[in-house]
Order: sequence, then structure tokens, then C-alpha cells
Amino acid sequence: MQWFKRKWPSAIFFLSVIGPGIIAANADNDAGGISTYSIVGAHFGYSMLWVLLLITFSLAITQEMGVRIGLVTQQGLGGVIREHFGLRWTLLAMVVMLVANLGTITAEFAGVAASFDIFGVSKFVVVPLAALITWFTLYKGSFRTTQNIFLLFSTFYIVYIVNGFLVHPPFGEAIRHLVIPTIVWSQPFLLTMIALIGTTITPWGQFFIQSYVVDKGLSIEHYRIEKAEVFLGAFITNIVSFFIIVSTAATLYPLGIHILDAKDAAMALEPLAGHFAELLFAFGLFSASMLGAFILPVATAYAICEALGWEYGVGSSWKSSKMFYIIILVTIIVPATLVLLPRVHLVDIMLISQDLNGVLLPIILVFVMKIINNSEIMGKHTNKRNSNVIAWLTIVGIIFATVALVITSIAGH
Amino acid sequence: MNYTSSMIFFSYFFNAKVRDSVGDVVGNVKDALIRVDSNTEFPLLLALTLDVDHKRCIVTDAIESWGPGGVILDRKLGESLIECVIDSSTVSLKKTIVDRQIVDLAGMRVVRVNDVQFGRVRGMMSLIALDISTRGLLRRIGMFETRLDRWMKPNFIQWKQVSLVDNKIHLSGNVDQMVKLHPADIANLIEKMNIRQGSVVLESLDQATAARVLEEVQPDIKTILVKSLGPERAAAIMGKMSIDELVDLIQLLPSSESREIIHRLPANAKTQNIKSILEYDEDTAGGLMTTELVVVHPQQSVADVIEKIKDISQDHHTIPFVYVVDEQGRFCGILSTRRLLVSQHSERMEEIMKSVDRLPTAKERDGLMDVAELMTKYNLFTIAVLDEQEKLLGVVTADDIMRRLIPHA
Repeated sequence: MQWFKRKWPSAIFFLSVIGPGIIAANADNDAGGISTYSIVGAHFGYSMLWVLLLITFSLAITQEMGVRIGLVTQQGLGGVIREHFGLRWTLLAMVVMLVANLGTITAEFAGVAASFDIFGVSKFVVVPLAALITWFTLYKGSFRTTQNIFLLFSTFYIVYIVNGFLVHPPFGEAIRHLVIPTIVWSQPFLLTMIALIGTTITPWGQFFIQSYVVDKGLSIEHYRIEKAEVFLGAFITNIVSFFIIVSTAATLYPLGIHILDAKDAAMALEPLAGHFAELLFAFGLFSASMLGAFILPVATAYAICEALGWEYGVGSSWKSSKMFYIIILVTIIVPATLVLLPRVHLVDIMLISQDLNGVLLPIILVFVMKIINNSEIMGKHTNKRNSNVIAWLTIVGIIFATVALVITSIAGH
Repeated sequence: MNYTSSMIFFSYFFNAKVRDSVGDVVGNVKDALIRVDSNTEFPLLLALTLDVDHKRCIVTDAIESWGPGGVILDRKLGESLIECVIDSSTVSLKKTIVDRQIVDLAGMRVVRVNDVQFGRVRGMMSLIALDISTRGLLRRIGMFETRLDRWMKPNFIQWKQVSLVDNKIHLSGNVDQMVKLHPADIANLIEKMNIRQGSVVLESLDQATAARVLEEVQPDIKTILVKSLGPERAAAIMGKMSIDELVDLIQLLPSSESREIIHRLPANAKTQNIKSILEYDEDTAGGLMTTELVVVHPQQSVADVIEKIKDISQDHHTIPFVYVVDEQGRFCGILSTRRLLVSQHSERMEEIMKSVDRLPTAKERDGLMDVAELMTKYNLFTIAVLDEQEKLLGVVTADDIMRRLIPHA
């Protein structure tokens, strides 16, 4: 990913100072993220904050492992899986990632549709347009500017932090919920909880951060700085998540408002923006969604091509990197089409896609764990015990929640 | 399809069952070892390692068949095993080659080794090329032949194009210079193999590439390859050749064979054109003639020509005459083998041949009776058939005429 080296940078200084950790984390707060966090607060108040606290550690640890594997092997995750697990396991990992990413991209287009839905613009106008813009930007390669613009726009999350203070939440109660677990054995609760995990720690984020450090040309000497950055990134991104949850928990939860469309979620910003809440929210959701819609198809195509040995690269010709562009096209067209199906519910798409990510995440994490504990691959940089404990607890936790979800769903019927 | 005699891929025997001469399953193939010396163009396949024995491996000699159904030994397992000697020149395919990326000098990632192709080179099972194609991927997951094959370009990298540095595969040159096995390279490879393998390689290519390759192969091997492919498949490939090359190749072939191929050429404007050029009526000199003849050059000495005849005599039924042709393919004259025998070894063809201006010749469209008349009139045993440019196309023998006149005898 030569383009990262060239593209992030000079013009927007602060983006070049902060590194992969924060950018990957920021890109994580996409359409699925905003809507999931909003729903967590609006439907369940502060009760899921403890999950957020735990997965902040999980996010930091898993991202750090991705960085470490990248620094040691100088390859993306797909490449390492291919070299050490063989082709069949690689295909499994690729299918898992592709399915999860298709879900996430669908959420991005749903986010685009939802943000314009606030102003009554039909998704049948907006989504095809967004898909076209995405494709031409990626294919014709004015990728850099566009991406930086959207990345800059998505710093709109800061408004949630400000807003979080303006709503005067009961911080005592919020902090109590941060450390004292509450769990409700119901389908809606578990579904939302898995989405909360799945939108924070994602399969694609695991592939993305590893490729990113490799293509930034970083090596193991940079490990300490990168580790600090990743931890900081995980912390900052979850501070934002915390305040999104707090904002909706303080405003919507007491009123018993269920988020059915973007307008409902926008109401949480009223204490800060008043009448402009809807405008502000639409703007934030739109830019976060577009950022995801730009990054994810490329990240997907990049990982698959690396693993399967197809030539790739943004800015390469259609002829030399045909499969690369075909994957990008498919990962734009299929999700956009799904959003356009009549009678699909945009907020549901954004939530369910994050569940899909959450359910599939353990498969990718197990690969990461097998790699990072293999001294043939990692040399002396294998995992320490703490990381292993946290990562395995994360994996087991998600699997456990998934099983519980299945059981409650069956029992509920 | 019988894989045993043809190209062998790593995917055929990786993880495959090994059966001994009795047919018992004695283990599974775990890996393959090759020997890499600094200059090997085709690294030798030394041995296969087994999951049941960690110290010894199967010598390549003991393997009778390599098909996708598994590896079959020609003896008992015990007699097939040798101590695995792993030294600096021994390379494990699984650990170092297969699934690895091939990087260029700048360290930029390029492609991945999906499969490895083997074949017999000078009788020894050797690594021929690294398969980086999607077809290789499918082969690895057990899809040895699919309908998709013809849409997927074969893509091989020759061993001599890469080097192993720190067990990483490096491409000599950078991405832009990366040449994916040029047709001329494949042609070179084919010339080094036996005909059966060569034709299998040709068939494994897409038709356009195969045609390009066939164009590059030496003429004598070309005709044998066409014979080995059979008219159906040969015609399919030849249909993609350039018109000049196609005409030349068809002219090299015996008339019966070329007729069959011309009939099977895909019908399009190009081949229609060829047909009118090449398809002679059976009752013309062109249709009667044989192209199986010994061609020599004016400057060659008697000694040279006798040597040449010794070399090729198995391929010919009789050799009553040799035909002298200049650089441009123009017919200069003929020489009987009797004359050859009685001449000084140092004499050159142009000095002793019977020159064309004292010889009656036929044109390709001359009718049967005209040719027969000419031959009877001048008491000829054979007559040369020339085209408009005086180029030698073939020879009609008295035998050819007789067979045409009395077909059922």
C-alpha cells in the first residue's frame, strides 16, 4: 500500500503525527459504529458500559498483536496465514473476512442512505450515486484528497464528547456501570452486545492495521512507538464511543425512545446543537459512512489479492490488477444493491452487520493467536501471558455470547 | 485422463496417498525436496517426505506414477526409502517455495507461488516452473480440470528467473521487467522435453499462447508435435497462429495430415484464405505430393549430406534423391543417392547436382494426368513441385501417381 505513504500526510499535519493505531481506530467509528453505540445507550442506558471498558483492552491488545505480526513478518495477515496454514485455511479466512466486510460495507451504504433520509432524500437516489462516486474515486485514483476530507470530517465525533458533558449525565452511575457487569439474558440485549463488540473489534480492522504498518515501511525498531500509538488509539476511540453511549443514554433512554431511524439517533445531539442536531448528525453519519465505503472495498481487495497472489495496488491498471478491481467492484455493487432492496430497515442493517462482524471475529482472532504464539514466525516476539489471557478471554467471551444469543433466540420462539 | 506420463504438479502429490507396488497405502506425502545449485535451470526433484517416517524419504526413482489419485511406488516402501540428507542445497517445497510470495528486488510484493510444475528434463524429474496462475490455485484445492480453465491464463515463472535469498524467492529484475514465461521460453522448454510431455504442455496452455509457442518451436519438432497432438487439437491451436506461420507449418506437414488439419481449422476469413492457398485438389500435383524429403543446401559437402542422411534415415521409407534448395527456399536441383555414393566427400552439392534448368518440374495446380505425362515422357521417378516463387513445396513420386490411379490395389 504505497499509497498510504504518499497519501496520508503532508497537507494535514496532525494526521501524519498520529499513526496507524489512531487512524485505524477512527475509521472503526463508522456507520455501524455510530448507530450501534447510539442504540446501546438509547435502548439499554448505561448498562453495557462495562462491555465497552473490557473491549477497550481487547481492542488495544488485538491491534497491538496485528502491528507486531506486521512488523516481524513484513506481510499482511492474509499473507502470513497463507504461508503458515496453507491454501485451504487461507480460503476460509478470506471467505470469513469477505462476508464480514460485505456486511460492514452494506452498513456504510445504509449509513449514507440514513443520513439523507433525515432530509427526505430517497435512498434510490443517494446510494447509487454514492456507489458511483466510490468506484470512480477508487478506480481513477483521486483517492487521497477524498479520503483525507472524510477523515477530517469524521473528527465530528468530538461533538459527542462536548455533548456528553452538556447533557449532564450522572457520571457516578456511568462509572459504576463501567466496572460492574450487568447482563440481561434476552435476545435484544445479547444481539446489541455482540454488535457492540463486533463494531469495536473487527475482522477488517485486524487485516487493516497489519497491512498498514507493513506498507508504511515500519520495522521492529518502531515497535515501542507503535504499541503506544495503538493503545492510545484504542483509548481515544472508545472515549468517543463512551460519550456516544452516554449522550443517548442520558437523552433517549429516559424517554423510552427506540431508534428506528437516523432522526431518532440525531435527537441525542439536541443539547449541543439544538435545532441543528439533525443536520450535524446527518453530516457526521454521512462522512463516517463514506470514509468506510472508501476504505473497506480497497482493504478487502488488498487482503484477498495478497493472500491469493493476485496483483494489486491502487492506481495500477485494470489489465495488470484485474482481480483487484473486480473485488472492489463486487464489494461496492453487492452492498449497495442490498441497501436498495425494498423494505429493508436501515438501522437494522447497521446493527445486524456489526453482529455478523462480532460472530465472525473469533475465527480471525484464532488465526492471529496461532501466529503470534508461533516462535518460528515471531522469533522472540511471541505473546506475553497477559496478552494471551486477554485475547483468549475476548474470543471465549464472544463465542459464549453468541451461543447465549442462539439459545435465547430459540427459547424466545 | 492419464497424468502419469504428462506434466506433474505439486498439487497432484502433496498430501496424496502413497501406495507401494502391492497397492497398500503406506503413508501420505508431506513435502518434496529439490536440489538447488547456483546454475540449475531445472532443479532436480530429489525425494518426497512422508508423514510416517521423519528421517527417511522416498527417492524419486522409486516412483512409478504421480497422478492426482496418489503416488504409486514400483517397489516396497522399505526399498524406496533413503536417509534424508538435508544440506545447504536442499530446499523444501512446502517450507520455502509453495504459497510463498515472490518479491522483486525492491522488496515489493508481487505474486504468490500457487503450484509448482514438474517434468522430465533429460530423463530426470525436475522442477520446470513456478505456477502463479489462478488455475494453480484451483488445482491446489483439488479442481484439477475445470470448465473455467480456458478462461484462465496460464502464468508460469521459470526457475532461472528467480533466486533464493534467505529462503525468500526473489525475482531477478523488478516488477516492470517481470516477464511471465515468454512463449519463446516455453518453446525452449518444450524442445528439451520428450514429445509426449511437450504436447501436454502445449495443451495446458490457452490456445492463443499455445499458438505463439508453436510458432517459436524448431520446425522439425513442430511437425512431430502436430502429429502427436492429433488433427483436432492441432487445428484448434493452429487456427490462432499468424497466417505466415500457419502456411509455413502446413507446408511442412505431409499432405494427408495437412489436408485433415485444414478441414478442421476454425472457419473464419483468415482460414478461408489459407484454404484457398493450401488446399489442393487431390488430383493436382499439390494434392499428390509428399513433403517427406531430404532437403540440402548448395554449399553442403557430400560428407555433410551423407551424415545428414545417416541421422534421419529412420524417418524415411526410401531416399532415392536429395533436393537442393537455396537460402530462400528456391529449388536448385536434385542429386541421386547413387551419385552421392560415387562422389568425392569434399565435393559440394552445387557442383554435382542436376540443376533445375535441366529438370522438368510441376506446379502445384498441375493436374494428375499432366504430371503423369511429364514423368513418363522424361522417364522420371520423382518430380519436384514448385510454387510461383520457384520454392520447393514437395515431390510427386511415381508411387503417388500409381496409388491415385489404382487406389484399391
